[in-house]
Amino acid sequence: VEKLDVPQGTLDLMILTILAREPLHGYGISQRLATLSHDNFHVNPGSLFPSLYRLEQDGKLKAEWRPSENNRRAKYYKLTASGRKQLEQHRQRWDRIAFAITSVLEGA
Amino acid sequence: MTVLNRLLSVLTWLFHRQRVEQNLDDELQAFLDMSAAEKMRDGLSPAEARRVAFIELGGIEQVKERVRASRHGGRLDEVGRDLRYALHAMVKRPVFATTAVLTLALSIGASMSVYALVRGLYFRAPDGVTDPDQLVGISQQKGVKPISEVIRYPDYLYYRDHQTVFSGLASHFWRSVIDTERSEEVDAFFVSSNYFSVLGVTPSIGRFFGPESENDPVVTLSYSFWQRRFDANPNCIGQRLILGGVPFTITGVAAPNFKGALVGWPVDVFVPTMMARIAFPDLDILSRDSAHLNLLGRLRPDRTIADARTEMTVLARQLEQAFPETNRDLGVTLYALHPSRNVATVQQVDTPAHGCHRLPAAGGLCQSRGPGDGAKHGTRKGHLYTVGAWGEPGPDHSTAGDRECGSFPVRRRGKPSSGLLRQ
Repeated sequence: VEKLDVPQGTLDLMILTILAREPLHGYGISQRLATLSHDNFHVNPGSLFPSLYRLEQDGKLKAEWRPSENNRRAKYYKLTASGRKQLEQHRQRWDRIAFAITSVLEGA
Repeated sequence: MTVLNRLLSVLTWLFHRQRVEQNLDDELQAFLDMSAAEKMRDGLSPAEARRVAFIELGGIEQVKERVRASRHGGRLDEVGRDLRYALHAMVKRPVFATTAVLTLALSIGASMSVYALVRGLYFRAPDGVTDPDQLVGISQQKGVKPISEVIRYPDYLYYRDHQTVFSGLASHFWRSVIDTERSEEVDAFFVSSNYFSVLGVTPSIGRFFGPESENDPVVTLSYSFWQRRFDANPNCIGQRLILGGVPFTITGVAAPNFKGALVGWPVDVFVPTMMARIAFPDLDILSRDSAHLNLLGRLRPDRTIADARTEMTVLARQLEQAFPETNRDLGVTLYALHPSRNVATVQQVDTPAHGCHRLPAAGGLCQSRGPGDGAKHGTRKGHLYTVGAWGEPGPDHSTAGDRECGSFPVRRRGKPSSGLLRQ
């Protein structure tokens, strides 16, 4: 199946959503994204890590090193309170965008 | 909060770069390992799994570079790299680098000197005057244009006699005139009789001319002109200096540091405003047809420039009502002569620049007059003007003022009679 590009500006929203459920490391996030998008999205580490680092710098994520499920040292990211707030805002905006686009497409 | 986080992150990046880089390295390594492990579970050989994982990652260095670039403060790295590159390039081509640096240094130096010069020349208080802080320059303004215009003599009289905010309101304007005996141009300031007292200056020798001689051909020399033209001879007081063909009696010499109220503007002689005809043979200074003056006021101690602006605006409105033909939309612009007290200092430069444009024209005008003109009619010939209606100029007298402000040449002997010019 041909992969889709992640629409601009939505990667942060998806990362925050995934991390809202449980803390994960970079690889885990990329796998979860692929699974949840039914393998439509395959996010490149060259896009994923810059996003993670930016969100961490902005205080939306907090990272800590701990052993992974197969006992490997991995950097786990989890949402901060400020990240949770950003998630809510972005989610609401996305819902509006999706609603608006759908309305246009169906109404035309 | 976000700003604080970002700042911290930039600082971490700057001072703990090693640790940050190591973390990133470890994280990407972990990513690779986990990716490879999964591929091995799918049945690939360890070597093959690692190769595919590498390809999927897209190159560790590339990912790291993108992370660095997206970091706040990542730009600092780029700047640092650019600087290093620039230094290398300059070291490699020293001749080119030296030329470039010298060219830049010269051009920056040149423009800085011009700015410094202009600042030093124009953007400072006039030298040698008492309390320059209290001095206010006044010109007129047409509509909302920020271009200052000169003021008519009759309007000056109206302002002078009706204002209450200044302890004195003087007028001045610059023209180049001919020193007839030497056929040289001299820079003359045509000033009102209270000019020196408003500025609070004292002469170095002799005296300044005052109200008693405002209609007389009298001249006060600037110190530098006195040195240049009269070799600093104190006996020149009372002698004659022929300007534009008219013999003037020298009353005194200004102090060495007093160079007029227009900062940076050359000045050789001060003569009464009424002598303006030596620069403009056909000028009737009293008429409403010509405007030449800039005004100088000394604020009373308890008044501010804002007070002055308010009052002068009211007076300008009255003049506008009285003389709609000449004064429509004419407002006044006030500016502190001391630049530190001034918001719109540009107007200080505006006035000299104004004169600068006219310099060739004025020079030509004076030269075309030639020497001797006027002098051949005798030493005391002068224009005398009736200003009876203007003694109390105002809106109520507007028509009378208009009518009676005309001029006619009169042969004058002795002192001006009372009732002329000053009531």
